[in-house]
Amino acid sequence: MKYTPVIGLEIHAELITQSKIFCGCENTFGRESNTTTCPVCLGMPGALPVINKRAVELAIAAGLLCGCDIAHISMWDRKNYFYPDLAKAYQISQLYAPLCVGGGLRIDKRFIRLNRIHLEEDAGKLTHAHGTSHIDYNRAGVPLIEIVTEPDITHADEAVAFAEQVRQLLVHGGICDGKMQQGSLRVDANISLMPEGSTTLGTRAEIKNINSFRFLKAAILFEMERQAKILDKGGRVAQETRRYDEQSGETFSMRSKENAHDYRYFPDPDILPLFVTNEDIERIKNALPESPIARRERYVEIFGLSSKNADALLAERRIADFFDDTVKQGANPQAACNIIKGELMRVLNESKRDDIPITPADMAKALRMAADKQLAQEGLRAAVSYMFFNNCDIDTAVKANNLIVREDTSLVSSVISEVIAQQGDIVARYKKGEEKLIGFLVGQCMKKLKGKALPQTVDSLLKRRLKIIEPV
Amino acid sequence: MIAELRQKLDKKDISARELLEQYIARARKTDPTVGAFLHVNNEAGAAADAAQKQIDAGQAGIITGIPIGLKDNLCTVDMPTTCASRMLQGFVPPYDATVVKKLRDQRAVFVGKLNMDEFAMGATTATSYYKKTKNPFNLSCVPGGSSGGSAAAVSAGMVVAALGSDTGGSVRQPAAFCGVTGLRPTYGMVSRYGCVAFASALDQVGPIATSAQDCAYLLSAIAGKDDYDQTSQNSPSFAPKALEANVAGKRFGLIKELMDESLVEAETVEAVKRAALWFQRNGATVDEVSLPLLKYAVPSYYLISSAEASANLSRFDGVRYGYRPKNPATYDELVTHSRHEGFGWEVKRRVMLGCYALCSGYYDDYYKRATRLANVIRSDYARAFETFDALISPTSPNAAFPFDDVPSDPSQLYLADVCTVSAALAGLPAVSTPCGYTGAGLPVGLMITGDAWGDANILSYAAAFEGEFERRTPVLEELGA
Repeated sequence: MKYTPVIGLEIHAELITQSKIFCGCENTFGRESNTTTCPVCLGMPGALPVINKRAVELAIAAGLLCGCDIAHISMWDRKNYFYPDLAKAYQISQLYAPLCVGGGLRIDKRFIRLNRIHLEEDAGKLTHAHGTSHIDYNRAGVPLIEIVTEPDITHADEAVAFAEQVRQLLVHGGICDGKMQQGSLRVDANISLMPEGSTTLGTRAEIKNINSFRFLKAAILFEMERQAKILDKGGRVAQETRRYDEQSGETFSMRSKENAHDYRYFPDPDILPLFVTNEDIERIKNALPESPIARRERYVEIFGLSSKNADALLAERRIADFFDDTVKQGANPQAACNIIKGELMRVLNESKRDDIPITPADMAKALRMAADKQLAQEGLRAAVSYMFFNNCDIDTAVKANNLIVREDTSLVSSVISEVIAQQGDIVARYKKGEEKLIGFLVGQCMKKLKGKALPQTVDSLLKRRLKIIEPV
Repeated sequence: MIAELRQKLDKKDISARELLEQYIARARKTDPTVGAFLHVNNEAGAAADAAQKQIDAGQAGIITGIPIGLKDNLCTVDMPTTCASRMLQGFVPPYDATVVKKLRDQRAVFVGKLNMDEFAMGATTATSYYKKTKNPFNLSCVPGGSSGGSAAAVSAGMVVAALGSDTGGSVRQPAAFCGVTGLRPTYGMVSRYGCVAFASALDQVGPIATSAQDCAYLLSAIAGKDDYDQTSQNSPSFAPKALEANVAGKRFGLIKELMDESLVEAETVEAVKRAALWFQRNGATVDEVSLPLLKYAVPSYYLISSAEASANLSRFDGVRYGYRPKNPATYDELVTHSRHEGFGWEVKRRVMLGCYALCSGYYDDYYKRATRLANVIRSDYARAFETFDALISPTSPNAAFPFDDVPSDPSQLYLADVCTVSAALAGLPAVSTPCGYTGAGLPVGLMITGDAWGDANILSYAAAFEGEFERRTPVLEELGA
């Protein structure tokens, strides 16, 4: 039988705040275990939570970017369960009255509705090694938002596209760093199958804590197939929580409905309800950066970039910002896109740096020099790389590497002579009519010239030389 | 008493160290009989010397150098904080409760930590894992609870005053049983940060002392908004000043339902009636007022407080601190055995009750309905305060009872909280002050309940009454101490 999958996502995103959600401890990643903790996030007897206003603002910003209604009054609830990484044995969350309600995002031609976005605290982290387990409470109390969709998603690619869109919005909004390997962004997927043409929802399984888009797709595809096999045999899908195993590419049952937690939610009496005024919402809205959706439109419609190029620039906020700033400094958008997407991304990845040590003004100037033929493409790349690693301006980079195209025709002539001597076969074939080989010969010359001449110059000199030596 | 001692200290009639030693000597002699202390502060001498410096510099506040006791659920960095539970045996918190810090900053001198019902759950102090505290008026009787150690220590003169905590009556009822004055402040007046939580929506730290005036002094030292407790607020100015002690022209409502002799012992009803007459003689009016919803207060209180307790006490899982069994094989075993062996029966009973009240399927019938009842009880009070300045009633349906008479059916014991829990549910301030003695010589408490933030008013009324009431102090020597 054919089935229609019904998919809903829950996306957990850690917020970029200075401090944790209910205490003053630093919100960082990668510190020595249990060093960013205090009585509050360790759940010491008598300690009480106090809400971090910045976390609320970021959650509201996320809500605005996703088209949600912001609740003027939202409340806090305790979600009770025992787990070693949950210090208080309850998580402070928002079940009954969340901060953001409704909303949704357009993915291609379809609108995926959101149910809600609510705030909560992250738990600590467990590591198991050599038969013992260690708990690190540094992450305990890190502010999280949970973005919950309606079951509107109908295939794995759409789920990935939605999650990617959410990630892009959060990253650009300065709300979440989007680093899935570090667990800053985690996805739970609820999946059920419905016989094609039916309107009765099937029983769903929930796959927890997926930490990459690739795994999200694989997990959904695996789960669809698993459920289809069960249904084909006339079986029933169990309502349960499952885990995706990255090694085998399969999902495994974690706990069934019978063993499901009763979280005994109830309003947390320690924290006052959250009051948000229209002025608060206006202020947060005005401070929001341009949404990546509007930005992509601008790149494609106004700058004439391909949507693939636009997405490449938008993958990271700092890249897109650098691009925009470079264009503002007078650079041609397409040329700026090419060098940023190429050489700049390469050196960023190579160095693993977070900042871009080149100023947009220097980048724009480099691009202008290339446009004016003062720099060859190779020279431009060399200049960008040099500026990046030496933290200097374009003039220093050009000077230090002797990159300016001087159009020294005697040098070009001698290089051409060398190449003709070395590439006798190719020269012969060219002369017999394989005209496209000229490109190869020009390339050989350019290699030797190391950016000290423009390819156009070499091309014309080379063609002329090959004619002069043996006139037709 | 604090004003007197203040004068003596400031005039150098006595040093802070000498004052402390008087109380320590008294405690050494008496406490082996009474059993109020769980821990005596070894550093108290140094604290007294620090207080003396402040006094010598002419910078003494109202409580500087005054020997004070702390209920053992208030976190102290330099003394264990056990909540009278095996679960926290030897536990020294990494921080001071806000009230402790405030008193420390004002150079009060902590004599030690005082016994209580385990995690403040009880009305006899008999659920303490460590020891029995006896009523200084009759050593075979309970001191009340849960702040029984605090009330007994004040009553027996081992500390000048003490802090307790009141969730459903835990300051007022032991104050009544031990013949001293105890205040439950308006919810939010005092920070709860560092007071080990029992029921967060109801817990409130309050003073126990030998007079309403001393309660006012202590309250002024601990009240105020705390950045670490969102539910705390800045109260209308509460300076450490002398109370007006006047009831003329005030309108008092005598709560009808709590004067019912089928519910309340006759001797208690009589004592409260005499107090009401005193108010009338002194220019106040006293009229009967009915709070018909009061009958729902006890079940509502036990559902809400137990539900909150079930979550608040979940953190005691043996992972980070507290009691832990030997060699648990798994995490589940660690948690279950820690809790099974670390908690006493009363705590377990309430945690079970609380979990049940919150279970999906029962939540609406129990927890939700209980919170709705708390709301209507609050509006009952609001209506009463349209007519009255304060309400008067007994603090407890009975005076202290013998240990042997502690009912084995816990629900019987819970019913005795009928006088105190409703003010807690409504978040209102209430003070208990002695208003008479039974034939057996046990104190009877009069409770004065005020409107929210009317703490200073009810303390004034209590102070006026105390001015003419002949209060007895227990004669421990006669009891063999």
